[in-house]
Amino acid sequence: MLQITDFKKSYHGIPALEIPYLLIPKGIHWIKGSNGAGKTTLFRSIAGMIPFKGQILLEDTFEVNKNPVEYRLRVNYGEAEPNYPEFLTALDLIQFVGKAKKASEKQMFDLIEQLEIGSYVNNQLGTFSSGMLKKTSLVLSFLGNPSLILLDEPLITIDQKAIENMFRLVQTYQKQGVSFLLSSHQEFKVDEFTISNTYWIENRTVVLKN
Amino acid sequence: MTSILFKVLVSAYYRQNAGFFLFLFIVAFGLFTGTQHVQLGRYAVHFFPYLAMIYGTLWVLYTLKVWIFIFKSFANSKNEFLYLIRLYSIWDQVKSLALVQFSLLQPIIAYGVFLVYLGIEELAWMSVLGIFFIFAFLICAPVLLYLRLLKSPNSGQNLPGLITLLPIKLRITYPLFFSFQLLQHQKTLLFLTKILTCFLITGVCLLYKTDQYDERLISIGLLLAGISLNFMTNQYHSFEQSKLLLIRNLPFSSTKRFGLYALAYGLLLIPEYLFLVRYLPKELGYEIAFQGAIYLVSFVVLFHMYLYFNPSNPEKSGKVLFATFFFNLVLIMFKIPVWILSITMLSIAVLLFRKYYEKVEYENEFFVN
Repeated sequence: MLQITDFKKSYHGIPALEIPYLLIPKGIHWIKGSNGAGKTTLFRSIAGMIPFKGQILLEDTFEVNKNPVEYRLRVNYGEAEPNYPEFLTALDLIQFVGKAKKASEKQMFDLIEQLEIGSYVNNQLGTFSSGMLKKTSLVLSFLGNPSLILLDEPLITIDQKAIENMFRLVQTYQKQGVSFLLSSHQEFKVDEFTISNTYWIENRTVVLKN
Repeated sequence: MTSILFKVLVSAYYRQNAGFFLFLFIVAFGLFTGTQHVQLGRYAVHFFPYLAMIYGTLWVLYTLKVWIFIFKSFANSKNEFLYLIRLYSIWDQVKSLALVQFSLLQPIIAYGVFLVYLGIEELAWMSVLGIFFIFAFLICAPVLLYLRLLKSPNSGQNLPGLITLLPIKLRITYPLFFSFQLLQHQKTLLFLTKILTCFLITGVCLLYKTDQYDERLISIGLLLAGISLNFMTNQYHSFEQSKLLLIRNLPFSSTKRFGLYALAYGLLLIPEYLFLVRYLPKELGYEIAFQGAIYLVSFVVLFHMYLYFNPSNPEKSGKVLFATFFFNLVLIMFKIPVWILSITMLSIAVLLFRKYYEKVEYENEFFVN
């Protein structure tokens, strides 16, 4: 599903992450690592949000830099600690991202309903709590027809009800063939789906540890 | 109670709408001269029914904007304490709310006073009376609605539903994101810069009015305006880096991304375009204004794209900015048409964008998780 080759990411000359080769199959995968290990760096690289050296290939066809539009249509990212322009309403942002990701209006409003943000979707993001922002970012990450969804620390700042709603969505999307990379410090104790593989980020690289 | 209402409602309203008033100010005083305002006013007070229809509609729309703001403020959970004003006597509530409404209507009331003054001068007593009645209504009717809102706290929550009934759905689209960001966080700097650039453009247009006009003056004025507006490019990068990183995950082609940035800057430069068109010397055609507008946006876009190549060295950026200014100035003096300069700058901007957009690493990009 996702093939990472000769991956190198440095910050101002200091190596942060190096992955000679990694093949991630379809499924739901858990990326673990201590604080500062490089989970967000890996996710943002896969999402095409930060520069790196190497190649990231989706479904043997779409390379993040060579096919930027097709690749980004298929890879969505939910941020760990989302920060958005305060003057926008959640609906402004959802409609902007949804249109770009070719999501239908129905899908947008279904997700708003399923993640229960309908009561404040017309409010400005500047008035949101961290939990409300996180739920908004989760809505954004499910928009369109992705093949891979990256959820960075999806369990933080949201309540138990929201976690259950999100797990239900993950299960629904998985049944439609969508793969997930989830990063979390907390254990995923869920009945809705099973974790296919667990990867650890240690010593500045990613290793499979089932 | 009144001082709290002023802090929570009146100050917040004017703070939030600084951009709206800036736009009105630029349109009102940039496009019309004082004499034209007086002529328009005199005409209006002489034809009271038309005055009531045209001005009245605009004033009602403005009052509606204020009314929506108040309802939203009451609906905001942070302002729940405002409902405590019900504990005061009804007379105190009415007095404070009327004062708040009066303060929020100040921009239109000021214009109304101007019309009343003209009405008295022209002895158009019906118009003067009509204006008093309209403003009495615009202050009293909303106060009654606010009192009703205080009695039924949840009615404010229904406002989004009410707004959806309006025929127009107002959404902030991406090309306007940065304008709103500046209006919210850099309004003073933006306001002062806009005053400076609009004065610059007006100044060069009005220079040597009696002689044959040398269009190079306009190009130099626009070049100086471009330099003054350069602070926006750093702000734009910083804005996307901190608040809109997700833009890089969106499936936009390079052409579309470039076009969106150019459009965002183009919209921000509307006041400069309006001044350019308004004060353009009569002997010059509007194609000169069009070329000037493209030239100004090219200059700003070039620097936005240059920052992808050099995002973290302001000293070097300053030198490049000065060199670009100097070369442009020399080429303008040698009568190189601005459309050639615009095409050259846009071409360099496209090259920088295509080569460095995906590779840019910002100084504040930190090692995360």
